[in-house]
Amino acid sequence: MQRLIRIFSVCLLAVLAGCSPAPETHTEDTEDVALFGGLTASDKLSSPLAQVTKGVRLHFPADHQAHPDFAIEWWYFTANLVDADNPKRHYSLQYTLFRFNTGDAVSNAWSDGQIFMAHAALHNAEQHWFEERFARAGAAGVFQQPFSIRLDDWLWRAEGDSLLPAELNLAWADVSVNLTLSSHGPLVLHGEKGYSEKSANGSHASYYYSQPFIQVSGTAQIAGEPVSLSGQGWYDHEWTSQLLDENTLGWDWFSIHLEDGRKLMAFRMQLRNQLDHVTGTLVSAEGETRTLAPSSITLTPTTYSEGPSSNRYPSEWRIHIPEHGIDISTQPMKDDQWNRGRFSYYEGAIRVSGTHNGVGFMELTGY
Amino acid sequence: MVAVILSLLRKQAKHDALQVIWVILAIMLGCAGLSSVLILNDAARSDYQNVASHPLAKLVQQQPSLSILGEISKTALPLTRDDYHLLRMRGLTHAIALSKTTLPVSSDSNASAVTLYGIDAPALASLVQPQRLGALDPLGLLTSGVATHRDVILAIEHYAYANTNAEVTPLQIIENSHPQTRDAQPMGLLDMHAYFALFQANSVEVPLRVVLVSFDMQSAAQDTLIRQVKAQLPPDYQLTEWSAPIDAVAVTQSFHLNLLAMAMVMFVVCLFIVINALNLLIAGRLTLYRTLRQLGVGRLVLVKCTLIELLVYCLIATTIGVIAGHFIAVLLAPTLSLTLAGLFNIDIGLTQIDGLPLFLPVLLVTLLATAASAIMPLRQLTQHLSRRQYFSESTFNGTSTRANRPHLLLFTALVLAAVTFTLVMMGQSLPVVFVAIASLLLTGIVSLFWLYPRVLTRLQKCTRSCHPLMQWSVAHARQIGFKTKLASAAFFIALATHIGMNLMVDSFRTATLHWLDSRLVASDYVYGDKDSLVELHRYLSQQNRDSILRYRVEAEITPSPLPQSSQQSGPIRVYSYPTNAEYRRALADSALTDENWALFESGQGLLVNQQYAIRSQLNAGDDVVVTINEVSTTFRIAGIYMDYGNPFAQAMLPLSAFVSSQSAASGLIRLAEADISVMATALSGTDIQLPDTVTHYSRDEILALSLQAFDRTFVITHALNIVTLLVAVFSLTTSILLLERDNRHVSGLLRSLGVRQWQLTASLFSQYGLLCVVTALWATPFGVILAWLLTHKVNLFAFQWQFPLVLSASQIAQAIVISLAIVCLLSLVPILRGQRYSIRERLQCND
Repeated sequence: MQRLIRIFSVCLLAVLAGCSPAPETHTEDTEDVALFGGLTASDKLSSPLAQVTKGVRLHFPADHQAHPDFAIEWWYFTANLVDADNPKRHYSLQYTLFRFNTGDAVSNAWSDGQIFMAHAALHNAEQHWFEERFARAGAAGVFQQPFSIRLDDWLWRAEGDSLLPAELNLAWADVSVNLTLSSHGPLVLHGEKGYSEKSANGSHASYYYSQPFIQVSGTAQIAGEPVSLSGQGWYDHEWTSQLLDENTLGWDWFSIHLEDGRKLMAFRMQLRNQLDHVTGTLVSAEGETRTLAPSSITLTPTTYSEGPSSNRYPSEWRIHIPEHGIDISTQPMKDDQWNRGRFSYYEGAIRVSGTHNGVGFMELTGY
Repeated sequence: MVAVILSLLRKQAKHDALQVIWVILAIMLGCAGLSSVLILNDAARSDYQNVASHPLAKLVQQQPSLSILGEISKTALPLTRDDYHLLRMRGLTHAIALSKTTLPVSSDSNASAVTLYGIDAPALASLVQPQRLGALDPLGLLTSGVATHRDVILAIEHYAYANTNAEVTPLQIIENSHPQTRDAQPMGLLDMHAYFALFQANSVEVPLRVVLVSFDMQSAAQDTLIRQVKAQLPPDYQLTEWSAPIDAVAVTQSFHLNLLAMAMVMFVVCLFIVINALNLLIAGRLTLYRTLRQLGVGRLVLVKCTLIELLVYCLIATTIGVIAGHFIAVLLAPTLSLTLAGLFNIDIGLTQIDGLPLFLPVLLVTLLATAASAIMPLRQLTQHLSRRQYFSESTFNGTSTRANRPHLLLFTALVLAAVTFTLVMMGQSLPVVFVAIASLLLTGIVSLFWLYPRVLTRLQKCTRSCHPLMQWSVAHARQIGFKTKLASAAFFIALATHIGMNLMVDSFRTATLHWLDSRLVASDYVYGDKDSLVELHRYLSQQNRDSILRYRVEAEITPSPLPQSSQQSGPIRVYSYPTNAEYRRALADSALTDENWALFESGQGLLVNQQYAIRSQLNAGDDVVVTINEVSTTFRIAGIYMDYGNPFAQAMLPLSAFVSSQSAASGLIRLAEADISVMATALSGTDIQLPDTVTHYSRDEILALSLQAFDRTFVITHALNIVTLLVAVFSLTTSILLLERDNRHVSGLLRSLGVRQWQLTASLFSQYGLLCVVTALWATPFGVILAWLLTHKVNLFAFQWQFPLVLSASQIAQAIVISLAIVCLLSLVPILRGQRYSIRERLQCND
């Protein structure tokens, strides 16, 4: 169980980044060490795991698929939606599939040494529907033709082997969501052509690309009541073996749709005995990317709130990118957007104001 | 008055301790047999409920919101991993897969077996939402757990060793914390991955149980869930609610029926003993009864008191019998579990035995049966104590004159034979065949009663007058034949059943061995995942080694044209089959004509197994429509092949139908749709390194494993057979004890006439021996007929397969010789016991 907790925790940690205005060093005495203390790479991993290396070129559609030789991987979709009949009524949706290499020495007819976890969450102004599911390969996985991301009946299903266009069908509790997804921009490779560094000294990295230009439309059934939804979606796919260590403490991550059509991804990575690593990617409306060096971006918490276990977390932020004239503040769309899974983390819609307006998502772990 | 008599009988019982113990023992034997079978039957039947509730007991205990609502099954096939994934992908996320195995553990431990359950822990964890986590998270099964039972560790290590590279996975033991389950065999719960790693490394066809689990649901929500699941299930799947009566499949029903029939045979045989034992008891008390009568005690009072005494014995015997039955069941359960799990997918867990619900019906049956058994002895007692009888010379010997009328006996036997014949010819169901078997045995008994005096009369006539002792022996044998008719009947039933079962098992074994020998064409068999097998096949082809891939798909098969009365039976498995000459020879039993084989070879013919042909009333030459993935093709049934031991319908198509889309069965089965389940190739003695993902068996290994499984399956049949035989012998011994008492004065007279003790012993021994030999010889043809009924009728209706009856003289001789040897040995006990009386004592004895 301890191993699994480590893997899950690290996985959640690894869902990326953030930055702080004054880079902070986390030591053994830092409070959050206790939360993720003892996170080590599993000693049960029988075969050497593949490592993320610089210079590897990503190929599509092949790299949409799973990379089971790496320790962890996730396919992450978030969407800022509104009720088509009442645009002031906001909804936010999350569908994530995580894959873990369990390190089991023997694969067999039941399992190929991989385990999947999926999260589905829907928010409106009043309520939060969240469910966590687990499965082994077979009932879960990422499939090639047509491209699909599945766990049981939760299904992202494209038309061919490309990511989009696709249908997304989710149902849990008294909620069901049926959305049509299409893209109006290219895939975005973060870092150096998809090689995304997670620490200043280069010890931590992942392969990471996104599709931030997703147009979403469809319906939801909430307690039997139909709701027409439309909005913008953001898709991430990331895999690595270099976050399974006890030095990874947490992160603050943002994906933002600016009103001028640009997209911003930014994260602050918290690592033991290291300065926080802050970086990001600014994407033009046409899909041109600019990797944001740590020196060119600051992420500053401006307001702290109390979480579900009386934990203090930064709920409002200032993001400053002087080089691109961006100085924005983020506010959560609603209070308490914590996903209370076996490993709780914050995943919630945000509203952006300042030099630019927009909407997006914020993810916080390690608090 | 009654109290005084009862007190007297109680005191008398101390003197008649042997007879009293004999009565109690007889009732106890019947109860033990009946209750053990009831326990086993109940355990097997409730296995559908217990299989999940017990391994989940700890979870349920710590997750009170977790409950099992039912079980999902497929109409005609066992559920496999792929079926389970299909269900979950259809949104049946409350369906959780289970599998189980029972392992023997080391002999120095208390437990003789341990049941290990594999469960899809991630799926279960999905149901248990984190905010409602109890003390135990199902996810814990993935990586941790504490193995607390030494035997389980031994068992796991043993299997881990057997599976070579399989890792010994930490195991969580379900503690038997409930008092009623404390004695039950230990159980372990593993994540399915670990379970597969240990036991089913590479088979995707492992039969699974899929249960419907709810978490944190009110009963209304549970009802809604059940309705939703029923609506969502594919057409050939069904949900059996656990609150509703379990509608076991036909195979399981036959198992229960078989076991119950065996128990009833044993119980009936025990009743014969009770009658004899009662006769013995009453005979021993005749002096007391007469004295009481002389003192003015009414016959009815005596009968009433004897019945009350019997009631007490029944209570004692039933209590001990039920306890003994429990122990027998516990003793047999591991063997049964090991042997029947594969055949019937039944686990005899014996995890919950409720004493009172078992005791009451057994007591009721015992009381009724004992009362029925007591009718004849008590009726004779009242007659004996009547004034008229009192002054007559008759002795109490437990015989009735009515049954000795030869014409009546012959007529009854003929009527019964006619009934048996009619039932056999007309009967189209298992219960009717069982009635026919009972009628057959009854025919044998009645005809034996008719035959026996005739044989001895003829023998008596053949005996020379110069051998008076021999003449007396034969004449006396004739006389005791009447007196021991009940015991003879019990012996007849036991021996006929013994011969019948032995012949059936022997024939089945011969047929299976022959079938396996011819069907196992390849020298090696490899099972594993599709990719590995395809890779291995490619590699072997490059090495110029012969190898054949065997494919499998699921298909709907419907007769063409569809009969009006036909029912949808769900999909069946269709396997590929090579068309080489040696593979044709392997189907020699199927009597395939050249024309039909050519039809099969060309891809226009289909082979179906006997089970499917019988169930669907199909014959060679019939047309069927095979539908795979909504593509339908018409085939002609080219042949029907034997498929012993497989409870499911199955069919075979030529390899070309799978491999080539250009074949006659063009486009019917694309490779992508087929699962590769077996690959046959020549591997033994080579240096080919097989991947871990496949399992390799040589032909000899498969043959040995199959026969091992076969022999294990029939262990219980043999055990019950022997028990029945022993009970019959016990009955006969009781009868001889009674006779020895009756004839004590006769033997005294003979001794006084100068006959030596050894001559007398030999004479008595030959009399009983003669009785047994005649019974045994007469039981033989009935045993053979019984074997035919079992092979051609019971198997047909229970399993839908038949095999030729092999009349093995050695099997018959063995059954007769062993039975006679046991009877003769035991009959010496009362004979030798009689020797302790002096001539004077014998002559004084005139009861």
